[in-house]
Amino acid sequence: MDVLWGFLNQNLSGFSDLPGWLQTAIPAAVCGVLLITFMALGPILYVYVETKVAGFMQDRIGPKRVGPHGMLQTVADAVKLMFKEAIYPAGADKKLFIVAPCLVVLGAFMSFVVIPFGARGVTANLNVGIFYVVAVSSLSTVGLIMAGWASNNKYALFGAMRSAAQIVSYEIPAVMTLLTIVMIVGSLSLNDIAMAQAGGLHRWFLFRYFPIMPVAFLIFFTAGLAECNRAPFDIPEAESELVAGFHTEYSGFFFAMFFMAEYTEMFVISAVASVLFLGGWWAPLPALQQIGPVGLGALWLIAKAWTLVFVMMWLRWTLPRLRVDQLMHVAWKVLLPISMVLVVLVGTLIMWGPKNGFLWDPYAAWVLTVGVFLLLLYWLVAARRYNARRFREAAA
Amino acid sequence: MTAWFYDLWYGFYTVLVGMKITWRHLFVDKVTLHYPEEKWTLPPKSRMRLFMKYEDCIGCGQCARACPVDCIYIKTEKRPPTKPAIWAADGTPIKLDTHVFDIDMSLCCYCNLCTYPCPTNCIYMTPEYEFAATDLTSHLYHFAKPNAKFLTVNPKPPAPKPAAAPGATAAAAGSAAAPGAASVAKPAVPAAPVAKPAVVSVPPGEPIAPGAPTPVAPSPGTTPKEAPPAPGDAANPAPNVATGTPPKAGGDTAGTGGTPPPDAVDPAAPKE
Repeated sequence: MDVLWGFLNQNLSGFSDLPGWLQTAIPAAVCGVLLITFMALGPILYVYVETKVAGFMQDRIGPKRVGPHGMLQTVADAVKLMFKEAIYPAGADKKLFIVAPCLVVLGAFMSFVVIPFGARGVTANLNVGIFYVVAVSSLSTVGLIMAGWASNNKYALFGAMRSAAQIVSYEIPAVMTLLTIVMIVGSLSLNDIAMAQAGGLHRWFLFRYFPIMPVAFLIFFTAGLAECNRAPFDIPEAESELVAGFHTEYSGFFFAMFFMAEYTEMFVISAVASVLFLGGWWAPLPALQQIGPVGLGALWLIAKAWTLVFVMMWLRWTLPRLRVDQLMHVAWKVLLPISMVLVVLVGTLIMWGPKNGFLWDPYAAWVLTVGVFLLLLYWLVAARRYNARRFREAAA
Repeated sequence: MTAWFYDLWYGFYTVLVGMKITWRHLFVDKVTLHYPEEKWTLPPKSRMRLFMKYEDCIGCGQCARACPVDCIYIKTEKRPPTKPAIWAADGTPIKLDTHVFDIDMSLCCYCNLCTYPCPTNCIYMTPEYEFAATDLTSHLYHFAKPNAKFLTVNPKPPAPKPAAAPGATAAAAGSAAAPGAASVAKPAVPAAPVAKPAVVSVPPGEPIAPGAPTPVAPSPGTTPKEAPPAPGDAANPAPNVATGTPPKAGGDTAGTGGTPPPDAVDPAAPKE
């Protein structure tokens, strides 16, 4: 926003003569429109990718009819949902019923304000960035409970209760792992955290203090998955138990808003995880940071976030849903103790150990990254070879 | 404590195993078949819609008796000696005029039992399976030529007729042009006798009329000509499974043909 303000101030004659509030409001409005467009159109892409990933993982091909390779399927779905009638169940608290999805969407959207898409490409560079994200993303929990309560439906209420229990449980390990990052950087601003990871892949916090921060990343990602109510932590909307959980009674555009919120929150969690652990807008190699004068920071951040979104989808179509007691077990007896130990370890290392990570961090980082990619590639090739062998045998 | 660590590692490890499996399935060929565009090649003996080649039917009614669900309705009468003799494709003389040969595919259970007893192999299953309809009565197919409603192309190559006459090919040509000429030719149906001096019992110019408005009641066009020994055609032909067998034609089957309930016939059918 500051960049935009500076740009307008220099290039638009008369801009500096405007009243002060307008000088702030115009860049803010432009940023807001950009972000809302990105957020509102994003779920169309994510739902399409999700259906495709789901299909491919189940040896199907997913949507294929609407548009080339079914690309317009989600557009058609969105249009359909927009024009559908919104039904209010009998006995529902209509005001809360309408406010709830808006609140959920708001909670998902507001986190976007602090996500840095580049060194200066941040809408609002809050000095309490992470704190703001944690606080605001909890807003959607209020929306979920509101939706469950206002629906006048036992399944919706069950879903809302589960959602509340789940998010309260999983925010603690998530925030604990955030603490480690904050201790390393010494700042709560997402911009500062990203800046501290400059210099290539081995400087990312994912590989700092090698065996420690990867574990922190796993905990944060798991907890984030639970906060998005995504499988395997989707018990608030467990369709085999609770019809659809908190959005059982919703239809039409309000239902679409819940969907939008879920997928936006996926992106937000992934983007925050990218900024915290995967270097934000920094490229894995400094040489890839820009092509000539054109910086690729935003693209790198979005690519990392989308990779994590893909991993979320990958997990969803791999793992079965946890039971409620298993969920609580994982949160309170596994993630929380480990994250507490991590906080203590990282604090100790910062106080008395090496400040900038262990000596073996860069080697471990590159070996691990290359190893993971080679493993995926190997499995890819193995799958293709298995495929060819299967068809040869079928033909014989 | 050891168990806790073991569980932790085991949970992490199994998640990775599952992710490996789904990752590999991303790159395996898909099993989806785009149905209307792609179709399975059916196995060679697949049993789909029944087809009856009317020119070869001798009206013996064995298929109707073999049918376990009684979905074949046949009515025949003795062919008067004044008409010229005709033969089926394999040389079997056709001594009966088949006035009604209806198959209700909505009842058919696709067991293929009707095709085995047929002496002239004129009834068989075709690989045609896309004949869904919104109206149940449109699954009642009339194969008897003057009223025949069956307009699909015969999937089998036509067998050479023993005494091929130009009428046969003309009839085939006429049936090909049927949909257009049908409405014009319909008034002519009652006037036309069943048999003409051709091998096929359809006059050369006679197209296949696409059925009366209500296909359940076969058009009585041909029956008033020769005083029918069988029960009235205008009535529902359904219950009379074997009544079509006239007394003389199947001398061997005449005694049993008319009376036995379908249940009595069923056990014998598979043995044939």
